[in-house]
Amino acid sequence: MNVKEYRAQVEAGLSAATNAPSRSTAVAGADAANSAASREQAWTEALAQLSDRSAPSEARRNALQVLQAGTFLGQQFDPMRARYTDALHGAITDPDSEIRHFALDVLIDNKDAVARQRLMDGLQGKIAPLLAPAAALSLLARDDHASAGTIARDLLAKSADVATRMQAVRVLGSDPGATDLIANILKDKDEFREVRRAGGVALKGLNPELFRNSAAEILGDSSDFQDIKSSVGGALERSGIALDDLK
Amino acid sequence: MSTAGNLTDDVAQVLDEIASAGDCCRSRSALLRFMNEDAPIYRGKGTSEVDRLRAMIAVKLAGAGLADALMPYAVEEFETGTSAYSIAGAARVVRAASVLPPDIANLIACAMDRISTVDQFVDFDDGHDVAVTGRKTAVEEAREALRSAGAHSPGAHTGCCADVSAATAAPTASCCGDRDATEVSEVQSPASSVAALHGIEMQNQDGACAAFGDIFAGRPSLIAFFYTRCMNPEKCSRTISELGEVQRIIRQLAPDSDAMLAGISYDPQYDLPERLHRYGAERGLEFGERCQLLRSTGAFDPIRDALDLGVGFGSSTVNRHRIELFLIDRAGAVVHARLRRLWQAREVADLLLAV
Repeated sequence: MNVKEYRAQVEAGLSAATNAPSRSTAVAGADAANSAASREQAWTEALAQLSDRSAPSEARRNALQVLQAGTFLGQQFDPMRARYTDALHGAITDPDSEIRHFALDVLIDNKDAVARQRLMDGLQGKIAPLLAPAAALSLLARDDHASAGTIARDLLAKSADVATRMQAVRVLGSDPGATDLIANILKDKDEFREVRRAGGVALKGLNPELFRNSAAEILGDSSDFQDIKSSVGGALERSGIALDDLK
Repeated sequence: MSTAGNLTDDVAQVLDEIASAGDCCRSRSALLRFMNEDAPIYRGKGTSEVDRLRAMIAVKLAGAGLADALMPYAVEEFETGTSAYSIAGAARVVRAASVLPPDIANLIACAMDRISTVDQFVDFDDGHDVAVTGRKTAVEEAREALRSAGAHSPGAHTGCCADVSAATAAPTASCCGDRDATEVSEVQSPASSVAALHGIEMQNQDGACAAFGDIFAGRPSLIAFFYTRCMNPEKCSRTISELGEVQRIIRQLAPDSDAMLAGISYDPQYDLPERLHRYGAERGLEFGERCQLLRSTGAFDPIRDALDLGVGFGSSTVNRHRIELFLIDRAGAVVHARLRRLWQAREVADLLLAV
């Protein structure tokens, strides 16, 4: 189910509830209990479907969506929460890459230690990688406390893949110890331009003063690329720093 | 899926050491060093991994007869912990303890409420246990601890470490009386001083730099530690908000007081002046000569060492810390420290004004 379909479903539900004739409190209470019971049943079935790797992929993806939508119901979903996390842990090695990615995505947002460790182990070659390096790094980059800096440095030193390098720079954007490394990437004309731009964003977050100085250097370098100049110049302007002030 | 399986060598080694500890109380209590935030086993690791490891180690230590000595850590988790593993580990400690603090049931209930949205099955199997019993979620573990706490007869007292078990008890000299066991107390007087820090350069939220000695010397001071990237709302965010409350109380009670209020960042390379300013202002601090948020411009280690801070670091930021508040007298001696547990602004303001 995509976002549009989900929205249409919620709107239809709301519309039905709003247009329903008024009923006694007792009847409404019974409806609510039935509704809660049917929701729980739907979640239980979804859990079973998700864990059944012989079931059709589309049905299993739908099951994931149903369960993830349930988490928005707060307390009502609490009795299912541990089983859902368990199912997500199982899904991170799923043969269906979409299910695998979805599970990792949710778990990393929840700062899950197992998902984090599996992604790190995959990047270090200790286990078969769960995702492509760039995708794994992009998930790890969401958490400042994931301690993925060492791996990101390693990949930056070894990988020639532009997407991997970009995401490694994003990870290091939360590591003040990598400030000089990132400043060098931003200024390195032999580096991929996408990676340099990612370096600009990272440096601006880590050390705005150093970013300002590096940007001034780039803007004053007639041999640097125009698109890089536009990127750093735009970032300065958005920070309220007039380009004339740098001269 | 086992979350505790596939232990790395360093973790397996620590768990082996705990499992093979002798019966001597002193050698067992030395194992409490593994609960220190800066213990080598936690260095460089991510926060979620540290939470899981600490819980696993706490469970192992409780099994080695140290449950009573672990009570301060369990109480800390119930009061401010936000991860399923932390609460589950603390619950196991409570179930193994012989003496419990009087407010433990309320603390456990609050913790259960706090982790209800992150509940998960927990696994403390390290491969040593012969039989793994049915899996439980963190909330189920806490519920069992609550039951156990209810069944506890008050005043039960067994084992040589039991005299440091109650989180509200006064510090007592005992065979477990090392740093971690004595920090149970809400107010203590560590015989430390900030004299060694006088030359350290500090920078405040406005970018102004001054020596530590020039900022704090000759006046009573309250120093709270924090960092702006802390994800636990019960710790740093709350600490700085309470610091603002202390400021308002002191202005009311003693407008002429020269007391200094300061927050010092654990994460000085990241917490640049602009971040400090925004963080403090959003939490009600009114900055001035007597109220500042600070960062060291050089290495943080001297500050950590001088005050024996309970903070550990991952590869890019803090991975674990305790609540730490110090009251310092005009001579630079630390006269009170509040460690691990939450504190009340009014009480701390009174203490500061009495220094």
